[in-house]
Amino acid sequence: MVIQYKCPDCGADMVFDSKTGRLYCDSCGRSEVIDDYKAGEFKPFEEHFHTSAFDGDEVNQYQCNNCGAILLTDKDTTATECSFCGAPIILGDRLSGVLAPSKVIPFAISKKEAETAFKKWCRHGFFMPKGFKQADRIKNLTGMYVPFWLYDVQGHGEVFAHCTRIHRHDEGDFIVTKTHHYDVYRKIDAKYNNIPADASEKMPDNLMDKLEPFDYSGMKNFNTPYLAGFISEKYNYTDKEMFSRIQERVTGYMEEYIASSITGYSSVHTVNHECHIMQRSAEYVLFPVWIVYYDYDHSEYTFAMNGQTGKIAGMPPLNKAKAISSMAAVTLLLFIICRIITVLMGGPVL
Amino acid sequence: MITYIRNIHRYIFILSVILFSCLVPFMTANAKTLIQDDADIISDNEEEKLYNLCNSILKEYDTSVYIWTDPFISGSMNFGYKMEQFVSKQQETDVVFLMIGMCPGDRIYEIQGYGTAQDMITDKRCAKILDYMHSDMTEGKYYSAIEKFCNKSYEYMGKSPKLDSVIFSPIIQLILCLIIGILPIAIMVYNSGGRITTNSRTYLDKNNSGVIGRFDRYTYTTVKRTPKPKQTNNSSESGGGGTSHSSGGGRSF
Repeated sequence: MVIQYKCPDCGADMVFDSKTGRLYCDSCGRSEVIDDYKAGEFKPFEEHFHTSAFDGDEVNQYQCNNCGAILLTDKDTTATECSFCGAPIILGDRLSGVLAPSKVIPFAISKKEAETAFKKWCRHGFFMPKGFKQADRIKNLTGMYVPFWLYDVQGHGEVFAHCTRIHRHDEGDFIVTKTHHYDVYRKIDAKYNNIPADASEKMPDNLMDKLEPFDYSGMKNFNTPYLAGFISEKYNYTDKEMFSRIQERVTGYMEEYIASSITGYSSVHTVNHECHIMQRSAEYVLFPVWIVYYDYDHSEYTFAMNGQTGKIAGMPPLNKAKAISSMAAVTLLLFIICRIITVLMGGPVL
Repeated sequence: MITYIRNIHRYIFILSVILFSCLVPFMTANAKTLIQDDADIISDNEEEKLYNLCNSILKEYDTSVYIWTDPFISGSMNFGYKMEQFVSKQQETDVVFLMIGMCPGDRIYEIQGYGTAQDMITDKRCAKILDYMHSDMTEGKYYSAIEKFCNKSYEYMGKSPKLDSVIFSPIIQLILCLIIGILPIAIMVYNSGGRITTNSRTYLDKNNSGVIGRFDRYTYTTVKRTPKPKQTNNSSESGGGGTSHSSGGGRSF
């Protein structure tokens, strides 16, 4: 099922406007409040696979309502644009049933703002090559709703530790060190809410983790108009499949929490500790990400920008000469300072 | 009166000579080089060369250098006390002193520092010089060993003992500076691809989290007594009311 939002005045395609948070018609300037649109009621999700003669991948067949062209889409795509007429297309059947997101954070940064922010970020990269800093080779800038699972998690932790408190005092010609030993126990009950984990296999986890935090106050109940004009994908991994990542992350959080609850000791030696992380709930949400493809020195670099906060992640190329010369300059400067101090204290120059 | 004016240049000359003769003792501050080779282990020619070396310490640092070799002093004797007595006879305050006892079967050599030399040629430095001389002493190259003593004493007199710390070594400093230089830039490069800015508190529901069980049970106490470290002024007080000085502890050879 293909969804397209037509302007009631001029019939042109409407897209989501990040500035106003409304559907906007580029042709006549009309804007529509998204809350007025009824959330989509689609048929249960069902995919029909056809083998493409072009690339051999699994693709679904949809037809553009504007030009009638057949849309060739990736099997994970839920929103895209017609490759012939450029009309924004939302594939409603891929956003229904178990694949229906419950929440969405709409884009707050427009394409132009994203480009400006990226160029600014490049200019401030101290160790980036000069040619890269000019940021004039942006190959593509794509606004994408990336599928995430938002977990509410319950953590139980228990720790037994052997701790000491050390007191020192002088007694005549001796220093007396008294070490008081303690058996320490802590039981922690902690709840963590809305921990995100990206559920798309195409998005590198480390890149998506660096885009956090998202501002959840800007989160809306999902409605398809938010996707108009952007690319969107459905999840590749279920919440159960992704939970091991969350368990690992929360275990680290719990260990920090437990450690912060044992205070006032000179030393803490953990004898035994246990952590149980349980999933309370998981929500399927879409988060806005600008993907920047950048060509530099015969290589393509990919960067991700949080479409809500503007935070950028992605490893830029390194200006090795500048990095090495900076290291050498800092080292030399410090060495000169050290030698000046040595000479002032009466030592030799070298 | 006219005769008095005529001879005034004579009076000025005499006055100048008197003043100069009064000032000279203060200018030299009694510092001197004393080489007393009772054991006859160095030649006259070598002694002359050593005088020159010692005089450089004298001139530069206004510190006396005593070198005393004795054919009867042995390691089993209280040689430290004998050295103190030797110094006290000279009535000088700033002295670096090498004594070589050549008693057959129990030969000993020792270095002591007094006054300024005590501050500059500390116990540790005395021991270092003794070790530096040791191979020559065992091989009977006494002149070479004493020359080493003079050179090292000269070097140490012009260099604060604080500078003996490895931290002042140019190689160590270079390595440290290299680490300090590399580390922040490596961190900057590593973080150039963005940083994880969330932490354990970002997603914590503070109102519904907490410690629900705890105890801190005292079990036992251990007590350890350690002697207080001695004052680290790098000098040792000689017993029996002797003069304060630094010492290398002596070496047999």
